[in-house]
Amino acid sequence: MEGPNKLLLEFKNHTIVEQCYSSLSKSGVDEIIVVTGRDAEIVSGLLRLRQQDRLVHNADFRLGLTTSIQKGVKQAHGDAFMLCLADMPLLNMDHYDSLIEEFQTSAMADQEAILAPFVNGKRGNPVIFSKVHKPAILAHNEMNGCRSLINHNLNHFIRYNTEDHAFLSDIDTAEDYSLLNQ
Amino acid sequence: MTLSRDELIRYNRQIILPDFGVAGQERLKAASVLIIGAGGLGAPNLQYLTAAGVGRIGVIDFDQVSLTNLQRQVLFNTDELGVNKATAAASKLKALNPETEFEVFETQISSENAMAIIVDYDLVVDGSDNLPTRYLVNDACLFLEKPLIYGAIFRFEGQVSVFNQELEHGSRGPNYRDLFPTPPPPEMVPSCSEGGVFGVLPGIVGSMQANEAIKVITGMGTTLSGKLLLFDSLDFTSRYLNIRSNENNPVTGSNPTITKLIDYEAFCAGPVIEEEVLASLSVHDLHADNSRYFILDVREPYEYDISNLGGLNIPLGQLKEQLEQIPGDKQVVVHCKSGVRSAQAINLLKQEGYTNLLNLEGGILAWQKEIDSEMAVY
Repeated sequence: MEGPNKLLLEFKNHTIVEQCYSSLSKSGVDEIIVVTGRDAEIVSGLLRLRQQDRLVHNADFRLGLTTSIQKGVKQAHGDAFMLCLADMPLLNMDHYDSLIEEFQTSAMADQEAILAPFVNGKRGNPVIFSKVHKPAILAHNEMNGCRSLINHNLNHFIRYNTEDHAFLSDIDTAEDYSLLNQ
Repeated sequence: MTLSRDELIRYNRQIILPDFGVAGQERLKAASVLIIGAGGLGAPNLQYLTAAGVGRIGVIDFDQVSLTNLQRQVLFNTDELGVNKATAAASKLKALNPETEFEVFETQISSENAMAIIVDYDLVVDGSDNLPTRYLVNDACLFLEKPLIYGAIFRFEGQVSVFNQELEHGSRGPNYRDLFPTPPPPEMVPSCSEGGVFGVLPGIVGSMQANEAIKVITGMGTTLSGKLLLFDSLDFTSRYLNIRSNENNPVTGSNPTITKLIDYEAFCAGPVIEEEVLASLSVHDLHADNSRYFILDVREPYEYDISNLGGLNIPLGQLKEQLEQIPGDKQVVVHCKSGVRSAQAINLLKQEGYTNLLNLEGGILAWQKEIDSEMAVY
């Protein structure tokens, strides 16, 4: 059986998922598509969505991250989409905006650009994909994310090098969570 | 197993297919298939496997045909309401193909009978609609080394795969527990009656299962072993996910913890956490003295219109906006159709400070069964 939902843990007087949405909504992204899975009703009740944002439920969320990415990407219409994990509450508006700005510069030279942050050589999140990769993401058949898509497009892959560990700080364990609150 | 002249004529349109031939037909005639459930998924499986000439088909279903089944369970007629589904299905199918032998099990498949029933078949098709049966059938097929054709539907989406198929080098393909080693919390699993289902969807998904069953038996083509097909009927898209053997699989992983069939109802109900047990009331207690209680019905208005206990109707999704209508100074009995939504409602109301709540055990279904058999159910 599964433990408590990490997205509903408390962080800065609200929940982790609220923190993530709040940061993103202040950033330069045009539209936020929130993909819910477990505890969808609670999550949707917590978020006060802006008019341009949407909730999409992924009934197959137990099949892994890919199904949630595909649910969201299917709805996305922009020139690019940023795949954001909701369990990274240390990322703020500036983190997202710096990635977007770097991507926009890169995309002028390469319309198939994919950009990800790298902290001391380690790849973090979120990753931004140009819209040309949408069909490949929707057809992707590995269950736990789109890493192999990046590997297949290394000639379009751009590293955003930084020393900011917020880009690596997701919550996978109780220890991660306790570190977050220190 | 040789074919008669009539059989050669009956199956001519598939015998002439490249790679199928008389050999494929003989394999079907020699094969035995057990179909778990004669409902929405069971119907196309039963029809196509019977029509295709499978030699022996077992069908197991404890349930009777009800009016709400007929929107999707196309083997049954309106005049068969109340008849056992396995029996009703077999009588239709015998008329479709007298060459096929049928075995009918008017019982629920359980940990006690599953091994004895499944052992007599070459292949199993899962057309069940609940998690305990899905885990039970999966595990029994693993222990007995039988291939299992998996199908599942929810609202507008379906899934199909082939589990535990014997591969060329003698090993077996992935199974349901490689996808889901353990079940989700029960409140995350709405049934067709709670979540709804698009009527043609089981027809599509069940037909895909029959397609895979025929391929496994005849050895034609490439099956869905190692792949999970996800089908969305609303935008008519399908995609695949690769399934890999999971070393944490409790039956076939590197450290198996399940070596025989277990109590699957308890397994899927999850651990009982004392402080989360809801105070409840039986339908008999409510019937004996209903003046003591304020009845709150958290179903949708159209459900209330079909049958109700006369209480206040506030759908679960609107509870928070209508708290002022719920008294805090009288025992409030909360009910829905079966008890799932009412439990969610009670948890929600508890967070709002209510301490006077009782969950009606079994909901309106229990009331119809125990108190008022004339009440309309759905």
